[in-house]
Amino acid sequence: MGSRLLSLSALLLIAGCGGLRMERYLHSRSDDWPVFARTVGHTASASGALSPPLNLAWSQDISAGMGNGSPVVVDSIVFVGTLRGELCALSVATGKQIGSIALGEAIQGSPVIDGSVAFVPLSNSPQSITAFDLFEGKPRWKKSYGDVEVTPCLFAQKIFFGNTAGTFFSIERATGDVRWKFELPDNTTLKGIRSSPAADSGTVVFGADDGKVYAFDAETGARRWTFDAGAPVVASPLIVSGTVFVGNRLGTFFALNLSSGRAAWQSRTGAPIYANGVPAGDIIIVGNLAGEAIGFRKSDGMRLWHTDLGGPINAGGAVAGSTVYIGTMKKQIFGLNPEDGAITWKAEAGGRIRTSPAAAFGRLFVATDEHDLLAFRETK
Amino acid sequence: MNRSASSYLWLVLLLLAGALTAHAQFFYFGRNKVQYTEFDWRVLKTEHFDIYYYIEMKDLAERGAHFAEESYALLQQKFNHTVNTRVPLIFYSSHLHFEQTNTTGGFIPEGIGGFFEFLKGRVVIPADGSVSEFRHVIRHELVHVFMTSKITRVLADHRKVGDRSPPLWFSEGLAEYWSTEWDAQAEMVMRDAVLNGSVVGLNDMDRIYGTFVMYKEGQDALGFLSRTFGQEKILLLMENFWKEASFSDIFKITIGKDFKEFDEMWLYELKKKHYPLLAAHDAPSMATVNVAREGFSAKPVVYEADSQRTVYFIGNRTGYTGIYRKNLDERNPLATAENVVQGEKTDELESFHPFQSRIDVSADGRLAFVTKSGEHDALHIYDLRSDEIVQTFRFKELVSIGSTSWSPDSRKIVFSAINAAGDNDLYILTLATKDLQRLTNDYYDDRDPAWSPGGDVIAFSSDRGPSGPRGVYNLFLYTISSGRIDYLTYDSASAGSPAWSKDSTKLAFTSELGGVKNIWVIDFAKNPPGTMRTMTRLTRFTTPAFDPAWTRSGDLVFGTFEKLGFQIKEIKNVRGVLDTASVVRSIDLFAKEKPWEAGTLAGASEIKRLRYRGEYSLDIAESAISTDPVFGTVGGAIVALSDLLGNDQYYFLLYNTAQTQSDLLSSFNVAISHISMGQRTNYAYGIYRFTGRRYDLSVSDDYFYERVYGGYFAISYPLSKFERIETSVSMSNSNRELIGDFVERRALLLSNSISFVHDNSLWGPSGPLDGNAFSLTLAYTSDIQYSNVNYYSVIADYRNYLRLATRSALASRLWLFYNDGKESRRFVMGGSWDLRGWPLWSLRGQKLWLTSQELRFPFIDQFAVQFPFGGISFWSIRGALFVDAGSAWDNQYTQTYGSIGGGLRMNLGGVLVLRYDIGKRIENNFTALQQGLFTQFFFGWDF
Repeated sequence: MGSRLLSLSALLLIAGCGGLRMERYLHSRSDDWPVFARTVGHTASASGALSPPLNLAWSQDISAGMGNGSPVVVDSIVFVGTLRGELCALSVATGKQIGSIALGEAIQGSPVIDGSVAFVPLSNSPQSITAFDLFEGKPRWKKSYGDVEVTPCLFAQKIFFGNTAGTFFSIERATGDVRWKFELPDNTTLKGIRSSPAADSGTVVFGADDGKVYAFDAETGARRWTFDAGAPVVASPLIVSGTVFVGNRLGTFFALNLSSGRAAWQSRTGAPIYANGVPAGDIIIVGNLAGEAIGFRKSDGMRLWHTDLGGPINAGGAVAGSTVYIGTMKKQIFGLNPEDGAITWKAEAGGRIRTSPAAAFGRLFVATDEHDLLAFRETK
Repeated sequence: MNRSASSYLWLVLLLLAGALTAHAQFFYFGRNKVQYTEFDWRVLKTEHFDIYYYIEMKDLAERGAHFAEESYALLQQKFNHTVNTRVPLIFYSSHLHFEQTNTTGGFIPEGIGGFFEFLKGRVVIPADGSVSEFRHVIRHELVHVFMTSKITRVLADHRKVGDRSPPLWFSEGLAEYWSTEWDAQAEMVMRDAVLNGSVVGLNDMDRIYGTFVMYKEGQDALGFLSRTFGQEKILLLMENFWKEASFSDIFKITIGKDFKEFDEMWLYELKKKHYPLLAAHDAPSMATVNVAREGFSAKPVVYEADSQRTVYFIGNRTGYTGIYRKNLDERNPLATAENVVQGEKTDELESFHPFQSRIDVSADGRLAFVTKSGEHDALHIYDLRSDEIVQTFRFKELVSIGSTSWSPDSRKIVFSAINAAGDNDLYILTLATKDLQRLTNDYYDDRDPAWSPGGDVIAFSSDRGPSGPRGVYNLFLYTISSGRIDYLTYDSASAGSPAWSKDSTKLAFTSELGGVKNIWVIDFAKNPPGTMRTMTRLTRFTTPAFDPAWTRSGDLVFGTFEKLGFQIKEIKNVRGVLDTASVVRSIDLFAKEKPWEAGTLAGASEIKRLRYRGEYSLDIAESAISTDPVFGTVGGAIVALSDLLGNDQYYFLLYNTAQTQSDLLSSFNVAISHISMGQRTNYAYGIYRFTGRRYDLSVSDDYFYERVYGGYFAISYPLSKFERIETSVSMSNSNRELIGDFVERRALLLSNSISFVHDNSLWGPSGPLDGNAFSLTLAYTSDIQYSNVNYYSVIADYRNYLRLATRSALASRLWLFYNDGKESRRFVMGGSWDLRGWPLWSLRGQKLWLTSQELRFPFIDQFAVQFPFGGISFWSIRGALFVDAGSAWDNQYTQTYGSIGGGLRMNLGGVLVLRYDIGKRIENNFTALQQGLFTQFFFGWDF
């Protein structure tokens, strides 16, 4: 696998410092992790297995912190957006930086890679979303829709995202023009949207600082339902098997029917939830700021296990094979057995982990707030 | 003394003195921070903290460790953040021990409950007997730790320069908001500010910068922000910190309102909340008889003899706290209280505890009060008839003493006290035998004992009830014969300061029911045994009442807080008021539960206990290159290290004065010094080598080249806070060449000096206003090898500050400087700091005298200019009228010089005083005034 990755990387032109341009179009691969949590439903499951123990393959300084998304991987290239506003591309095989481009003040969410276009959310910048053509090495379009601090959802040729002023947008992939938008009702206190939207079955779902979870018809913008979670929802929803799973800042984890928005079950975890849940078979795993990873039975919310990881869990995990990988702000990355929560692997990351890992091309990619991107691979 | 060599020694002594003293215009004055206690430091290592404590307070340190880890777990969720480094927590078991810390150079006032020191990331916290308060302060300081770490991380993640920090109202307000509940003290401050029109908005917080009011306003503002805009906004304010350089802009981005818009909403809500109180409550000044309202007045007690009622209290009218008295029946509203015990000028009465220690008077006319006196507190007995302190008691095992209460037979005193372990318990002192009997012995905070007139029980306030960990105090009765402790009140709001009526039928006390402290009374005549006990509210004040004291006729005298001032008031006919009181509350003693137990570290992981060994880290590391047209280019660096407790400091100075490459090796200047402040005797020693061209203004305007190397040893021993002895010895080899004349002088100099320094002066905005200061130095310098230098020195400096009114004084200064012998140093004089009107350092001589008389008075309290874009204010502009006279000469006295004039002084931020003087020189041997006027603009504190 290693030699294949090297040869693929060698086909790409390094644009050098201060530029980012690929020599060829990027192609979709089965191993790709092209968006935050891999799919529009945020299922965060890799196509291949990645069995612990893992070893550090490489570590690369990306010169700034990463926001609340995850690295994304397409066609053997890792893309990260930094809090300094740079979109960086690195070789999966070696970690060597292929190029980078400054697009704004900060990239708080993750870029979305579709073909050879990166859709990049920006904060505190003149633009909110930039569609950057990786082949041409220049933006296709730039649009200003306020500060965007979530990872956009690319679904049915539309891009969905909310901004910090509390407006949710659906825009055209091709032009960035607004198809429809929604403003949080009675928003006199500047409630924002910091939960990255998820989509499935024609419905796009997101949480907001007003304590609600909203679901809209992705095509028409008609509101399908609203669920009152009772506290700001910063975590991104997970949609799997017709159910929306999401936690709030008071630490309650909800399972909502995607069609009706009614709560199938809910469970209090005891600490704020910022992380998205991840599915592993019939179990949904979520972490909270008390450092607990909890396994819920998907069907009825029964708490099957909980494991103390020793430090706050700010981001969701990544499932690869029979292991779910979760990072903590105590600077450690863990591999857990989803069935019983047993820790099967642990490694020091050297910095706080505030972002979700990504598993692709036989690597586990983990960003730390010491400005490092780490790549782990199987020991064998 | 050789000028050049000695200047290095003085530089080091300056460092030593600077660490020991405060408010010194010249380094040889200033009060002393005395390290009375030799602490045996230990380290307790928990998962996230290194906890420094001394062996006597082991249990308290473990409770503190438990609270620290508990707070860490909570705060990492609130901040969504972890602190990557281990946090040093330095604990002291009492405020008196805390005041000895070397982790900060200045004096620590009684109101400071702990601090977070940014440079070394260390947190320093004293206990005060209250476990709940200890827990609160630990969490408060850890909020600072998390906030600093979080904001640093946010800026680093976005690659922003860490040149910004949140305003003090936010950092202190959040530290309070996330560390404690809204309590009676907070309610007191906000009610007073709102109802009396002194509340300020976020836009004007600089007007109350650094005050306790600002802490509480910040806490309230963040509570309002959280309720109105959402609790997530507080965290967002920190997470958005990278977006703008100005906090007000960050605020606007985060909540959609600027300070002004926010203030409109917040201040309006405050009015809506507090104004309705006036319908059913009164301001204390509107419903009482005024007793004492000037300055600060608290802790009253009434003595009645010969049909005269006299109130004694702790007061502060002039800056010095002491005991005051006033005729309670005085009808003249302008009559002022008499200061009978003047504190804070002597070691015996070093400082009072005006918020902590009640005073009490015996039936036979003896007043018991407490002051800090050296290492520990002392209990003083003051005879009211002879007006003198007749007895003073110090207890080796007791560090800090709280309130006192006499036994009915005047033979014993019960008081609360904190020992070295940090436990606040009750003790009885038998005056005749000096026997000390401990009544309670636990970690509960037992305060404010009041001996019943019957002599059989002692009422006291304690947090031993089940709500104690939340800071709730109830009243208890201690039965002397059996040692049994029973609940007297049992409530969810704190009760304190019990006071028995003279006939034992009533007990007045304060309760926080209703939000702030008001006075309630238990009438035992209406509460026969076997019935449900009740308590009746006596006062319905908007702002609190404290420390009630009965008169023989049944009136009550007590302290109040109103308009930011502590005053003393009286309510007459208490019985009548009680009979018509509408608020009566039952005391359900059947609901009482067992006392609480403190949390421990049991079961926690990663615990280690070690003996403390110096852990050094950098304080300063600076390098600089300077270029001078005369001395050329000089490059160098200074590095300062100190240990975590600040007891030992090392300074390394290295620079090079080479003008050519060949001079490089021979032109290194090096100084290494060690200063030790861990014990009462502070000492410093070091070695140095200096070389280069010098300009010696004390001898002539000539330049010379000098190579000097040597070493020194200096000792400073504080006799008390106000007096110290300093001595030093140095030996140096000095080789100098007068440039141009090629005259060489070599010497092996041995210098000795000894000084006595006294300073109890009290400082105003521009300089001292009261007290006096005195320094006498004797020194001898000789060349023990070549006999080129041999002289002695006598340096005397006396200042006296005669207070004329609260804010004005006549300041006097007298200098007598005398050097005599071979190559003796010349003194210099002239300029704004000494002989005004004459050019800077224009008078030189081996002998010198100077006297100055200066009238200091307030001139402008506030000078404000309002521009269209904002305003600026200047505060505390002071005026001065002065006359100076003096002279400097070598062998022959020539003439007397003088000056007369006036000036203005303005304090800038508490660190710098700008001075402008205008006047006339007195010339021609003090016989003629200068033609025209001189003006001088300079900076520096008044002498």
